[in-house]
Amino acid sequence: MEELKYTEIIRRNREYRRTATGPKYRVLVLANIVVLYLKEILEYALAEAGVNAEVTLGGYDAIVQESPQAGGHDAVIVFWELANLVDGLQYRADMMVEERLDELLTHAASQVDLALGNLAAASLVLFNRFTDTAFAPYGLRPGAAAQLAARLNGHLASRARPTLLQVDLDRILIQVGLREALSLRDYYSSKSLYSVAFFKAYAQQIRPGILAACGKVKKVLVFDCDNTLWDGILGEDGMEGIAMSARDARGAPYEEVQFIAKALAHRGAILGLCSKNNEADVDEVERNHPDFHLRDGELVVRRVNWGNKADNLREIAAELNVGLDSLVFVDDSAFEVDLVRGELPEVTVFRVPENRHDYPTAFRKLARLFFNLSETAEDLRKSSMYREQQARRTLQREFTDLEGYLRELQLAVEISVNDRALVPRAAQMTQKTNQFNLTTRRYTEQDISQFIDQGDLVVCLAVKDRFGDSGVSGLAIVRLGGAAATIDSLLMSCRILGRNLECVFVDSLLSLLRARGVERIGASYLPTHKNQQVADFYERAGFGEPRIATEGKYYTLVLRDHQSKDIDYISVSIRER
Amino acid sequence: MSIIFECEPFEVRDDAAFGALEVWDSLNHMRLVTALEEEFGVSFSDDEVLEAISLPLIELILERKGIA
Repeated sequence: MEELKYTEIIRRNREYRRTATGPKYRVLVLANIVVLYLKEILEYALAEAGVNAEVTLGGYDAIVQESPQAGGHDAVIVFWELANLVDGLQYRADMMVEERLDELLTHAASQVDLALGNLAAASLVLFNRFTDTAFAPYGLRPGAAAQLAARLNGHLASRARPTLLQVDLDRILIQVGLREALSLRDYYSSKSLYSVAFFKAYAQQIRPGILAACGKVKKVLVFDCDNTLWDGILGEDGMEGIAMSARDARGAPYEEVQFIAKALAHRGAILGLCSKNNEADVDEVERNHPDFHLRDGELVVRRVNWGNKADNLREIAAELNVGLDSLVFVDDSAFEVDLVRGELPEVTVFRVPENRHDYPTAFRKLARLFFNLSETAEDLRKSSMYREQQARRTLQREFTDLEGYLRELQLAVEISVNDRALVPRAAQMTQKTNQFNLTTRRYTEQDISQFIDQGDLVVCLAVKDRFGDSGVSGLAIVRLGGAAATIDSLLMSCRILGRNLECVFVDSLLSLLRARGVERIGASYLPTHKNQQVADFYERAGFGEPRIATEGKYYTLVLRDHQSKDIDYISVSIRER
Repeated sequence: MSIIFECEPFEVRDDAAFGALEVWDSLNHMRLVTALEEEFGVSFSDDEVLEAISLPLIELILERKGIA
């Protein structure tokens, strides 16, 4: 997008919106300056990532006044320009007495609190941190405006919450360069401070936050090996000839990339290899090369062979039970990059830059695709969970019948009802689960808390077996109304499927409802392009024949008619609050 | 120009002018000048921005800058 002209962005955005389908993602921009250029630029930046966004610009200088109307929007962006806190602050601040500055700070802070209070229910707020950079004096000492900005940012930091992302405008100003980023002509004529170039960078900066809120987060990072994880070609240069250490210029960028990837893995990304090499050679590097840093179990999946990389990536996605659009593939070869782009357009493909010194910087940019809104305990454990998964697969090969295998696994589920500690994880599951998800309703933490507050049931399922703990990986939300109940949401993480846990989950859910005097249960399946695998789930679970409507299938189960599956090889414990 | 003003090209007549064409207000004027500068690789001086308030006047300014 950087290289596109403003009119070209407008043209393409209009074209995209003519053909766009799918739910609209509504963004409201509240600002005390004019941010006209942002609308089309942000809409287009999100369109590029497959989000059908509609950006609405609020009125001029009406942040607090308009903040109560944020309901109905999926995200709110706040541009609170320091220079416009009061007219001409940028040149008046240095002449203000301390009391006046304190008073200004108190007033601004209370305005910020008012706005944040009104935006408490928004699922995502992107709030720009205050900065005086645009008008900073060139002296050695910070001016009064800089101090005011710092104090306001301190205040803002004290208001941290998971749905509030504080955007550091200074980073964007540095990236773009101050001269390019500001449009002073527009500022003096129309109070429009930032340029088209600035808004392009801004849109790219905040995009990962919005994608994360839409559940469009990348999950798997797959590396080629030669000239990608290390400098050199293992098959030709040998163990001693390849370089990946900061001790020498050849290896330094690769060490940095390995560490960035390692950090991503520890925050929940799954790492893998897809390389044309002899498997034994790569194993040898992984085990014994002193400078290789991804050997603490970060590499969960490998396809080291001489086959087609597109096929290998397909297999990787299948093995991990994720969609191809969750994959990011990194390779240095133009041939492989083109091949994968051509065969698997859903996969994000990144080519290692020509000059190795550009690699870490470009890679850090790529890493933004793995941005997560909340880093829950499950994210942090994900790599190890996938490793346990592989041990299970090995066991599975030894068994020919599924039940024998499942018995051997020693499965145990724990079901928690309305546990507030699990609210973040529950919200995250509604955001991220696509395949085993009957209704695909996305909820924020506030939404989930609200269900609990109004007496509905938020039921989480955690799973353990002899290989390890899969953590909380299933969720049901049931709305109660006397003798009738409705299953609003039912979903399970793909990594726990194929173990009949869904039967146990439904059976447990029904007995919870029976205990609450429920007699009839409504349920529904709403199709998306990803949840085909559960199209007949309720039929299989014994909910009877559905009523078929255009938007999906609706079931009504009379509870006393239901046959439990009586699975005896999964132990169940229930925790109620 | 029709791109900026979000209207059909035929609505922008040869004598279109600031104020006369309803969508040509001060904020859209700002967007228009930004787009023109980018499109033709030129920059307008402050006074030229104030001057460029009709299609013939814009053509005149662009001609002065060597754009036919």
